[in-house]
Amino acid sequence: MFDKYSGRFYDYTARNKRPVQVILILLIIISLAALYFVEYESSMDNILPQNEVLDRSMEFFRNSNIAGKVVVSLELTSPEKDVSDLLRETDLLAGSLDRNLFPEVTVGISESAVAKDIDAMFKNLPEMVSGNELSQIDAWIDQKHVSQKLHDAYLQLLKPQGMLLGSMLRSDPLGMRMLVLEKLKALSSSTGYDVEIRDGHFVSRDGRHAMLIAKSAVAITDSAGSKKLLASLKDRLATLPGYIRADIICGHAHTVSNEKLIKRDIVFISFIAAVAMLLLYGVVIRDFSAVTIFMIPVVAIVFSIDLSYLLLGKLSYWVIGLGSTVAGIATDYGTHVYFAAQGKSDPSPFVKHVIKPVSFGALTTIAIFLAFFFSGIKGYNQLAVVTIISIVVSTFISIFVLPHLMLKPDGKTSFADRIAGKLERGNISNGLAVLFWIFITLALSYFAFHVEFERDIKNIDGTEKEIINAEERFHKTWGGEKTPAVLVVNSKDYEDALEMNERIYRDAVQAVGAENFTSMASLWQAEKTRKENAGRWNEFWSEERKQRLRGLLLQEGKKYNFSKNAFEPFFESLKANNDPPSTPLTPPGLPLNKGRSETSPGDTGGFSEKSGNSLFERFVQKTDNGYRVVSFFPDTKEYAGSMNEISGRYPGSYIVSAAVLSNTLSEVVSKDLRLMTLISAISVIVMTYLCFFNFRETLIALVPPLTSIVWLFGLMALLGLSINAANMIAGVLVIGLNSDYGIFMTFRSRKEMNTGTVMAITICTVTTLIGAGVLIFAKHPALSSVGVTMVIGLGAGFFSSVMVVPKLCELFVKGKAI
Amino acid sequence: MKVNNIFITLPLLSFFLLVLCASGLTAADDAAEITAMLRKLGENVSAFKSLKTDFIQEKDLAIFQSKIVMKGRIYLQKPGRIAWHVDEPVRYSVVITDKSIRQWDEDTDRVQEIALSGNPVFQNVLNQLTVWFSGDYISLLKDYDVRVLKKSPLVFEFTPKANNAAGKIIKNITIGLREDERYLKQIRILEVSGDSTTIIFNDTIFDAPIEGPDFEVKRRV
Repeated sequence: MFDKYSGRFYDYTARNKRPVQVILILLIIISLAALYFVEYESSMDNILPQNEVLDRSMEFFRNSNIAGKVVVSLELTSPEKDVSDLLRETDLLAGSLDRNLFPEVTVGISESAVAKDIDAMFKNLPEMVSGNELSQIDAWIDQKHVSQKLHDAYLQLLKPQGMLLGSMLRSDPLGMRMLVLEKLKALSSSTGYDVEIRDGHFVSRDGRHAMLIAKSAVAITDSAGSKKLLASLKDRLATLPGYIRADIICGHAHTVSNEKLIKRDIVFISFIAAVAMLLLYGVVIRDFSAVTIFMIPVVAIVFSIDLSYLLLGKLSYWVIGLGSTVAGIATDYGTHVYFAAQGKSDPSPFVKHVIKPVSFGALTTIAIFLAFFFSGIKGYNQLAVVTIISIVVSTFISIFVLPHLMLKPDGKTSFADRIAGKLERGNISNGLAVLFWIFITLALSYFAFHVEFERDIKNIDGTEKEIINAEERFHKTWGGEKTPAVLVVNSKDYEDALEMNERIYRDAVQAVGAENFTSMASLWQAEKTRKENAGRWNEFWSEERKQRLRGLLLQEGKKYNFSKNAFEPFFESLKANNDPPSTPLTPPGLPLNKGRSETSPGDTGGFSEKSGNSLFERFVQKTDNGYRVVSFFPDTKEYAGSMNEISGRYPGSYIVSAAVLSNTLSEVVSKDLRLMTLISAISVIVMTYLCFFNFRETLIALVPPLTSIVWLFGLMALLGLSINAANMIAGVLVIGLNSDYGIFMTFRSRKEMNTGTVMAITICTVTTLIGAGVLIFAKHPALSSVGVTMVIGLGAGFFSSVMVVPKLCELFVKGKAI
Repeated sequence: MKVNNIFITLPLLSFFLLVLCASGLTAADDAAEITAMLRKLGENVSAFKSLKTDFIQEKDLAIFQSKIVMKGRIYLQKPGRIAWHVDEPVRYSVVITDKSIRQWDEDTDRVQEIALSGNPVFQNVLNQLTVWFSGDYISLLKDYDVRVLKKSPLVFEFTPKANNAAGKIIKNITIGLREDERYLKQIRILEVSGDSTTIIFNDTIFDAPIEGPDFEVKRRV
């Protein structure tokens, strides 16, 4: 039935070839014009699976704006110059940057802002001291401790570092402020970076490096913008004196470098492939009309982009890129039809004969992509639509348009015909080849189960050595190689966020220890707790306790020349603290002036509010929906597990960990891959069976795709290669191509008609191998891995199609030869 | 009468404007002169790599019953190393680098090292101290108003500007230079609280051979 209706349709297009061609040309023109209106997007979301952990992490990174920062590490290279020269040049550089590209530039933290924050903390001491700490202070009020404290204070005042500390010691004879300073020290040392503040600048411990951090107005995914941004920055860096070396650290450098490398690779690959194709077609086929075979996928992808946009809306750039690559598979259908029709005075019966294998070859490939609809990755769903449309269009043009465009034979046997004839007649499939295939397949099937999925995206990153070296130098100087994991608390209300953060902190300290969990809750709690602390403080400083301390200070102070009223400021401050605060206490950090409704705008409770200058900016962020409070802990499996358990108890909180992210991504993608493989396998088997309606032929036709999977995974495991996002698609492409070859060769084995199948498959494989083979030498690791995958997969598929399938058909299928 | 008034008023007004302009010019001239003086001083102090000086320090602090007078020696080696040895009233030594303070005192007889990175208060104080001891004051112009109190020998007064956090503690700092203007003769820090600290430098020797033990706190044990 299939043959009957497809044959009739072929005859119809043959009779009306001019109108069909005119309609096709018109459609091509309309489609090309329509491309102008198609909208694209570059969001990363499309290539990530739909998963709560991944969604939350991506949302966190998007809002935290970590990725958009540009860091410049400036190094003094001359021993003659000192840090003041470096800081002067850093300031000049910061001032010279283009504000359209770098809207915010920071070279350090203002020491006066830090001093202001510390001063504010000291003023708020009663609210920051917990009940346990009050017990500790109580233990300090005895003769021995007071005597020791005053001795220390005396010595300190005589030393240079105590030069301006007289007033501070007068208002804190017991050293209670150290309780706050110790917590502050823990908070500031948790950045993972080794930074000192000198003259308000970020300076390395060796005093030979300064750091400049700029917020970028250009998205990392914006390639053209990244180029402009880097060019502008490099232009400014070129004006630095010779004794300063600058390293740029930013995601934009990776974008530009990857694009540069890919472009260089593509130019190289295109050149080699074009020369090889010209030689192949100029020397072997020697027919200009064969060029149309390569135009078919181009036309098909144009149609496909327009139709997919109509169906799906905005299309992802990477989907278009991959879809176009996959569409290249359609040259196989054109080639197969071409060799069936080539050299025939009446190609009609020959073309009609290959309609079925070509159509079912296309249908099996479509079946593979149907499985992509079951993927949790939105981009794969889009890819399926784009690819299926392009394959349908390609197949239609290959069968019903291409034969009518071919030049009529001049009566002579062409060079290609002679090679095709030799290939068809030659008996290259034999028992030895089958035995070799069985042995290799069995051996590689053992290793195939050990192939791994690439978890670290850096391994397929094609960033240039120069940038990697700069990053290594940066980490060597500033540290920060190990990014901590983050516990995020989200809430619409600032105080609610602080309260939850506080409860989580208490649980975390029990679970992983205070030294492994850096949270602002250790220093600054919710208003409710702070009020409780203040109340306890006032109760603690009873008249009796104050008198006892006053007596001890007077008695012990005489030994060290302290005056009678030396510590009067301390007792005055206790009196002041007994009075309720005139204004409600306000939270510190970035969102101060947008916080609680009762807080007057701009009231920062004494803390610095300017972005980049607050001690708490790292821990509190204002989001579109409210507030986010973050805490940090070491990114290990053990801690991530403990903290995940704790965050599970607090709705609105979650963890963001590179280790968890990587594992989740790997798990979700593996699960997705398993499901897609299962669905693809079933679909391909069903389609192949529908082509032959014969169990044995179906099994034999499936030999090439199965061989390519086993050989590919087995050799990848042996070579230490892993499956990544790029070569996974190449693998799908290989399976699609090999399914076609399996069907073509099994169909050929019926020996009903000579349609030049071996020649078509050989030409297809050779052309694809030329492109893929060159890819192996690409500098970009992703492209190189695609090359390796294609070469192994296609090599295995070609070998099994041409050298194994015919013998298997001969052994297990009764011939239907004419 | 009316005309007369105008004839009197106009010259007066002109004179007043002239005086105003002249005073503006004088202020600008003063600022330029002070900058030139500080630059010259910076050049002078940059001429030596190390320094050794005796000192007397007077601390007049409200916290103490009476004024404290200390005597000792300071060793300074560029960049960023200061040793401070005191003999009276308590023997102690402090060696300050850009990373840490290493100290010893007779009372406890212990050597203690404190990393500056974890102590912002000390770090701030020592940063200030290092700048004042360096003699290179050009960079201070953005944070301090400078006045010349005396021209021979030169005495400057540095007052923190309104936006300078140091202004919360320091009222002003007076720097007196040696006759040859190669280094400080005296430095007086007056705090907002009324406390004051005065250091007088004597027998200053430039580029004198400084030995390793001069930067050791234990040598005095």
